[in-house]
Amino acid sequence: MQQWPQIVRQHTALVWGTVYRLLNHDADAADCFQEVFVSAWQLSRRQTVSNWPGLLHRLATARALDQLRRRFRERSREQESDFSSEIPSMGEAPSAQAEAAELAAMLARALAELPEQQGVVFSLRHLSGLSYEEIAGELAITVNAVGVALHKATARLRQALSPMVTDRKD
Amino acid sequence: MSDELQTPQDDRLAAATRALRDRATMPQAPDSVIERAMLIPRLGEVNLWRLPSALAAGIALAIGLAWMIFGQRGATVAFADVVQKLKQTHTYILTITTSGMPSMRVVTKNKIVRMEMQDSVTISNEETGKTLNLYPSAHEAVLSQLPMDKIKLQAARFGGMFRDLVIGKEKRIGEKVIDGRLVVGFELPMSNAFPALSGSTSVYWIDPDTKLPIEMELHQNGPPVLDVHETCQFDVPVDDALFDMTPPAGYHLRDLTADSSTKPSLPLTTQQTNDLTITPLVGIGPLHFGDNREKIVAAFGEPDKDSVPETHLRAMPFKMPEIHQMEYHSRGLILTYNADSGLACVMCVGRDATMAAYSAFTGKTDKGIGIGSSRAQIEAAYGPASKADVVADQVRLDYGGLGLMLIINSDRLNIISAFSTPLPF
Repeated sequence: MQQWPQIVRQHTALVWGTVYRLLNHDADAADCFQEVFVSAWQLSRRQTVSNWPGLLHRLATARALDQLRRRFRERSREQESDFSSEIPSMGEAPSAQAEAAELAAMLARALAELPEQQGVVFSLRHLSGLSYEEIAGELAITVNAVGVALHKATARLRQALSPMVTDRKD
Repeated sequence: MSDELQTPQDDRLAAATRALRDRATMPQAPDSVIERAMLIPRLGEVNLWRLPSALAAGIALAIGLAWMIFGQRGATVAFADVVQKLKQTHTYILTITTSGMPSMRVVTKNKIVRMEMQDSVTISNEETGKTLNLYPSAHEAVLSQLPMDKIKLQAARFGGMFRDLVIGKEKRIGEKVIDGRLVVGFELPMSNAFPALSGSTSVYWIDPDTKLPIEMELHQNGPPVLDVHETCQFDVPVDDALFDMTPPAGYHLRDLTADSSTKPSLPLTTQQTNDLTITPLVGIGPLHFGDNREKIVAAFGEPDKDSVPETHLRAMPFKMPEIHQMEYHSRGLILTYNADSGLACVMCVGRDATMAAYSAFTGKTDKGIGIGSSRAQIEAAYGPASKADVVADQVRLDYGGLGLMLIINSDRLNIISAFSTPLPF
């Protein structure tokens, strides 16, 4: 096995980029970053890891989605889920940028509400650009199961985003 | 964006996905965070977990499990609804692909079936029994009258796959995505219309929205291994011209219905009727292989039809010079002779063996095997065949040394072919 510090250093950008993209929050990203490497360390003690980038990609996505779920649950308890607080302030930003930020926040929330595997599969496919085969290998499922999970995730996300379309038209 | 996101509504999802993927405000990981991760092996995991996070992780796990149980029920469809929906369909198109064979398309509308094969087209009307075969390469059309039991069997084979499904025997086998649609699989025992495939299963992949299959598979239990895959379309517009029984312009029509109806066979004499024994490599009744046409006519009378068959209609397993086929429809008998070598082959058929309206052959072989005998009876009489081929519910037994070729359908002997010489297999 490679030296652990070397593994962390080599994959810092991958893990940080993945968790931050979903969490968009410094402290949450830092916590999640730690959780990812702890899980990876535990796993490497039980079995040989042949594909560190793949493993860390999967763990980072799954842990970030876990963190998002925790966040939304806590906030919904606190303030009846005002998801607008997820949308970063864009100041005088053009409306296109504001809309993109709003959409990203909406999608992050919708991803957190998906069943775990669907959220991970969708994120690995569309946010990280992994192929069906790569996802299947990482999650130890069949390519067909990837397709099914992706199909279900897309249907749910489509539904989750559609009220916003209606609202905006009104 | 990948092919999963294509509908107009998905423009929103696609835009959201792009926005999330390209989030610009992504600072580098702080050094302190990286250093702490590097220390994991030395500090141990427990030092890095704060209690609230661990508690939260436990809660998340519990809720995640609940989602796994209640949130992933997937597409729902009841098999009873599928059966009901299938019974309401009027047209369907199947594209059938079988391993090692050219693909075939079956189009049906109500009681008419059109089968498009590599080199021929067959149109059958289940109600009238009329069948038109088209051979484009020869520009030939053959119109025939099938016995109704054969028509019904054929209809059962294609239509029964959808009409005769029995509720209660299905087993749900999961889901998959076909052409962007999430479909549900049901496995069933093979239809009774295919006795030779007893023990095999068919899989229907159902679109929950339409409650109709969009794909079917045949999973055969044991040899021969056939990988049969069918795509299905239901109630799509089908051009009536596809079922027109009028041969296309430029086609030569052979009307076998007229042959059998306008010229009934002469009855056999009592002596001849009692003498239809097939003796391998010898002949049939009073006739010997090698006898000329005059002797054949003396024994059986003039045939209903005497013709030189087109190449695609020949059943000979080896190449022969100019051959003639003498058809005795009411006797279920086809004699093939050649001007030089005389009677070369005796073919005896059951009622549903051929396209024309033949009566079943009533004779037997020298060992008592006749139309309708079972495979077990044949093997008890002649022993194991030198070659046996099984395709779907049809079995062909060759007894090469005896010059015998026997075709069995649904465990009933349907065609007996006796040749003048041993077969090369």
